[in-house]
Amino acid sequence: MSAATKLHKTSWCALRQLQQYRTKANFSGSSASLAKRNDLFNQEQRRQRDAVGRIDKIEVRYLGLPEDVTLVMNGNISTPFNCAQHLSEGHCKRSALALIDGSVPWDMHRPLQESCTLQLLNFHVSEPHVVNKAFWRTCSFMLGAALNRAFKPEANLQLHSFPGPNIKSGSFVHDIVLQTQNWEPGKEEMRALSAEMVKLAAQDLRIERLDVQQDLAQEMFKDSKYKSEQLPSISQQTNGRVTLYRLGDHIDISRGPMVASTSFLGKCVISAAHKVAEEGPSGAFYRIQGVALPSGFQLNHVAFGVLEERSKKPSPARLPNEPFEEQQQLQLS
Amino acid sequence: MSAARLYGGFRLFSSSAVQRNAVGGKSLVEAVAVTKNGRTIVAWHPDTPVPYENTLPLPEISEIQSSAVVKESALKTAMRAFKSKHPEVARQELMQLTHTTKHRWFPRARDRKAKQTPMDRPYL
Repeated sequence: MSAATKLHKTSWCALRQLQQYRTKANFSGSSASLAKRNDLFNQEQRRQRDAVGRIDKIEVRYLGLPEDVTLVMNGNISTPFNCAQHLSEGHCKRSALALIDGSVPWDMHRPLQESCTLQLLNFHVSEPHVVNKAFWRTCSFMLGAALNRAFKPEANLQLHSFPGPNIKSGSFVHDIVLQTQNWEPGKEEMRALSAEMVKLAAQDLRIERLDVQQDLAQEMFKDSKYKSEQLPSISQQTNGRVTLYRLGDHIDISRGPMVASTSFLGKCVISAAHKVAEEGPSGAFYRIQGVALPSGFQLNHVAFGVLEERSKKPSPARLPNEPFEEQQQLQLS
Repeated sequence: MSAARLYGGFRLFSSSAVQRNAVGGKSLVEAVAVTKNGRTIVAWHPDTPVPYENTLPLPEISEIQSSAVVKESALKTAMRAFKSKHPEVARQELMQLTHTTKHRWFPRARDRKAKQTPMDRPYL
C-alpha cells in the first residue's frame, strides 16, 4: 500500500505538471491585458524594492512558541515570513497572519517598516477572530481568481467587488457581472467552481501585497469598467494609496490583510449564485457565495452540509448596485 | 507439359467467369491479360470515382454545450479535484501524455534504498 501511495503521489505530481504545461500554451484575448497588469505590478514591486535605499536594521521582538526571541532584521525588506524562517519550518508553514505590536494585523509577505513586536497567528490560537477575517477575505479573493479561470470568454465575466468579510453571514461573497440575465446555475456548474477553488489551493500560490498610487492603479484597471469607477472613492478613503493583492496572475483591489498562501484553504464549496440586479440591456449582477474551512480542520460531511445549507442563503452584505455614498462605513473590499 | 497445364487453367478466366463477381454484377475488373512468357496473369481494376450526386453529407456532430457560462473543460475535470486517481488510471494517462509504456511509471525498489553518499562533515 505504501508503494502504491508513493506511486500515486509521484504520478499525480508529474501529471499535474504536464497538464499545467499544456494549459499554459493556450492563449486568449484577455491574457494581453492580464499580462500587462502583471508587468506593471512587477515593475512597481521592483521600484519599491529599489527605493529602499540605505538598509537599516530593525529589532523585531518575537513573542510566542517556542520562546521569546529578538531578531535583527532589515527595515522595509524583511517580512514576518522571513522572521518565521529564523524560527522553524513549522512556523513558516502554519503561520497564516502576523500581529504587529499586539494589535495591527500584518500580511506574512509584507515588509516590516520599523522595530516592533511580532506575533505569528495560526488557526488554532485562542482568539482567532482576526485570522478568521483574513481567511474569509482571502476566500473571496480566491473566488475571483477561480471565477476568472472557470468562465468562458463569451460570458464576459467582470469582477465587480467583494464586500468585507462578515463571518456571521455564513458565506464569503464575490459580486460579478455577466452578460446574461437568465443564468440558472446547476449543480455541475457549482461543482466546477468549487473544483477550481480546490485546484488553486493545491497549487500553493503565494498572496502578495502591494501599495500603489491611484494613477498606477487606474492604469492597471483601465480595461475594467467597474474597477475604474471604484478607484476614486477607494483612494479617497486611504489617502491616495490603493492596496493590491496578487495570486498567481490574478490581481485585485482589497483593503487586506490576507493569509499567506492559498494552501490554507481546506474543504471548500461554492454553494450559490444569486442574481441581485440587472445591469444595462443584457447584463446582470450575480452574487457568488461559498463556505470553506482552513486546511487541517476535519469536519464530517453531515456537519459541513449544515454549513453549506446556511451559506446558500442570500448574504446581507451591501449589494454592488447600491450607491456607495449612502454608507459611510468602510465596507468595500 | 507445364505449358499445356497453363493453357488448361486459362479457361477459368473466360469472359463468362469474369462477369460473375461478388459486387452484384458490377464489373470491377476492366481487363485481363497474360504476359508473353505465360508466367503472370494481370487484372486491371482502377478505382471507380463516386459521382457527387450519389453522396450525402456527414451528420452534424455538434458538441453538447451543457453550460452557457462555465467552460466545458472545467465541468469535465471538476470531480478530479475532489478525489484521488487510482494508480492504474494515472499510469494510463501518463502513458498517453508521454507516448511511453507503462513500466516506467511503476514504483522502483531502488528508489527506496539509501544512497551511498559521503558524510558531509569530517568527524562523522
